[in-house]
Amino acid sequence: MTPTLKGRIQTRIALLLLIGLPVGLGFGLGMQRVTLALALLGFALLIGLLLDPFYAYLQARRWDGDWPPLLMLIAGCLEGSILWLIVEAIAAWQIQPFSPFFAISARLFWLMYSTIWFVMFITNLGLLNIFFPYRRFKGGKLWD
Amino acid sequence: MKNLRVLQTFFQKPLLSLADLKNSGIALEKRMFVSVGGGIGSFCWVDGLRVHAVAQDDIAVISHHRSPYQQFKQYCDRSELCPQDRLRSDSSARPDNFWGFPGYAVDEWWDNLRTGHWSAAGKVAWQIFSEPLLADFYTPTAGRLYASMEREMGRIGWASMVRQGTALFIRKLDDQRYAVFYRAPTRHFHIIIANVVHLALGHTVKQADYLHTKTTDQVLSGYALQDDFFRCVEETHASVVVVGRGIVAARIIEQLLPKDPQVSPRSVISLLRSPLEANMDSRQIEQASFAGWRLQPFNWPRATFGGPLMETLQAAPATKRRQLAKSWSAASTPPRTQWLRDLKKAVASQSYRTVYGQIARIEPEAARLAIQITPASKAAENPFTIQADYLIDCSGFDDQIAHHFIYTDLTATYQLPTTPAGSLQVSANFEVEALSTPIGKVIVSGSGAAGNHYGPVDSFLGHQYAAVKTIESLSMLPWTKIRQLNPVSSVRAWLQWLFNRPI
Repeated sequence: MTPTLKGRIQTRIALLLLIGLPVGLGFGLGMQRVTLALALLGFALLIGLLLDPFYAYLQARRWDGDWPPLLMLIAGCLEGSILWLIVEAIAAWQIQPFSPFFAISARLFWLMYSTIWFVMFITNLGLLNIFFPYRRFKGGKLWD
Repeated sequence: MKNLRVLQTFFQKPLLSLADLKNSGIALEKRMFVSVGGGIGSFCWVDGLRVHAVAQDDIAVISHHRSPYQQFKQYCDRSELCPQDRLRSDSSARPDNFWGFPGYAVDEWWDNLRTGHWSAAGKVAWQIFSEPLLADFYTPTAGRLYASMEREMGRIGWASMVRQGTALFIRKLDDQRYAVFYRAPTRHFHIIIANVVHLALGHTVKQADYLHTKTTDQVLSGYALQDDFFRCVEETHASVVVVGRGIVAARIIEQLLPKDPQVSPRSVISLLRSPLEANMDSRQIEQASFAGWRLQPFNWPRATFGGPLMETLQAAPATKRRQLAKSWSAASTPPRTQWLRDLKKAVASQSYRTVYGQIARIEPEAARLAIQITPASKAAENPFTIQADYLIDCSGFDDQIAHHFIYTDLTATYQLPTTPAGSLQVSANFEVEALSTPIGKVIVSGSGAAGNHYGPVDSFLGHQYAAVKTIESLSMLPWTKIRQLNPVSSVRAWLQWLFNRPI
């Protein structure tokens, strides 16, 4: 399945709501910081949505116009790194009350991010098609 | 004989009366849906209907063969593509699986795990993850396709829907349905009255003129090679000229290249019509190439199957479509690492070379062939002759509408519009709109729909795309009683597929 820009955006939103939200909430409850988990998910969605047109541009530069799994991984690493830099910057700039709110260890951040990303990645590669069988013929779009 | 005369009468009329058919004495049955062809195109369409809960009794399939993959297998077998060899097809392009998940790659990975073939399982997993950037594209074996289709045939009750025979012609009825006439192997004529007629008649192998006029059995079609051909070439150190730059030509050359040029001093020559000019499409992106071969994983760029390039093609006006199709679907071959390595080695050892031009004449000379070549127009060379022991033609398939009697008859009888490419004009839902009635539709998919809004019509995924679009439009008509799948009904149907539960 090769996504169109619309398909990318819709898939991202759907995956975040269907997978990211429950898994993120699980982490939030485990950390006893549900609002932090939700804020990180929100930031992750925003970064992804801002980068999607850039990915679509890169994809259009490929002869086959596709977006293979390895590029998905690279994009995931890029988005995670940007999110981590934002969290680090807020912590470093000592902006009250945001700095204490966003304080999270690198280990916990990457564990949470990579778990959510991996489950979303696997779902996107095929499981989503079981629920939405027509999307693979519509550039990944879930609705018109 | 009487039936034949009656049939001739029916053939001459564009509109038939149901009462006349009933009184004709020809065996008649009524079904809601009939698919004509019985190959992989019919199978994908019928499988889509069955997954959408259309009853077995509502469907009939007119086919020459018992199995939908039989014709495809015949083409593969004749070009020496054995069941263990890999096809040029995406993992998720599964005619037996409406959802495309799990794809053939996951299937193969799981089979390897179950049977303890850890390294093979690891290789497939790596391919799934890293294709096509760090590994070759995963492609399924032909045997895996046949086995998976066989399983799905049993599940959807394919055998009970098939009416073996040759479809003859189709006519409109006065009650707004259609009559499909066919001749069974017993030579008896039959009629099926249907609301929806689906045509997926496949294609014919393009026969170069020199295959018709040949006087020697050293000139062969790449789609009809004898089983022992490659052994014979190996043993006799024969030199071979292969015409064409498509996948069949590439596979034949791969098998012909001498493993050790010192031991087998034979040469393999590719005869191509003209040197490759840089294939730059309207996006200003250049296609990869090597030694005269266009390199592309599948017969169309991946994004034309269901992504952004599919939308580009759909939005383009007819003339632009032709242009895009020309650059995206020009004969190409997948850039498989091993094949490219072998080819480079053969070029270096001079056991392989490329010649550009067209065949002017083929004459036997002693026990060999003297092939006169008219050089490609841009080269300022004189005609020249190459000598070889065999010439194999791999010109490919012919999608010209004129080769299918049913299409040409329909076009002539009902004055149907055609595309600039010469195929039947179909709507975005693959309908021949000029034949539509309030309770009837004629649908064309596969190569018969080439040159329209969708590029890779003649591919597994293309057949499934046609099924999806058809079902989408049929579900809007109350009389079909088809409902589109929602997430719940889709999961339920998928689980039935997973556990091989008959539907």
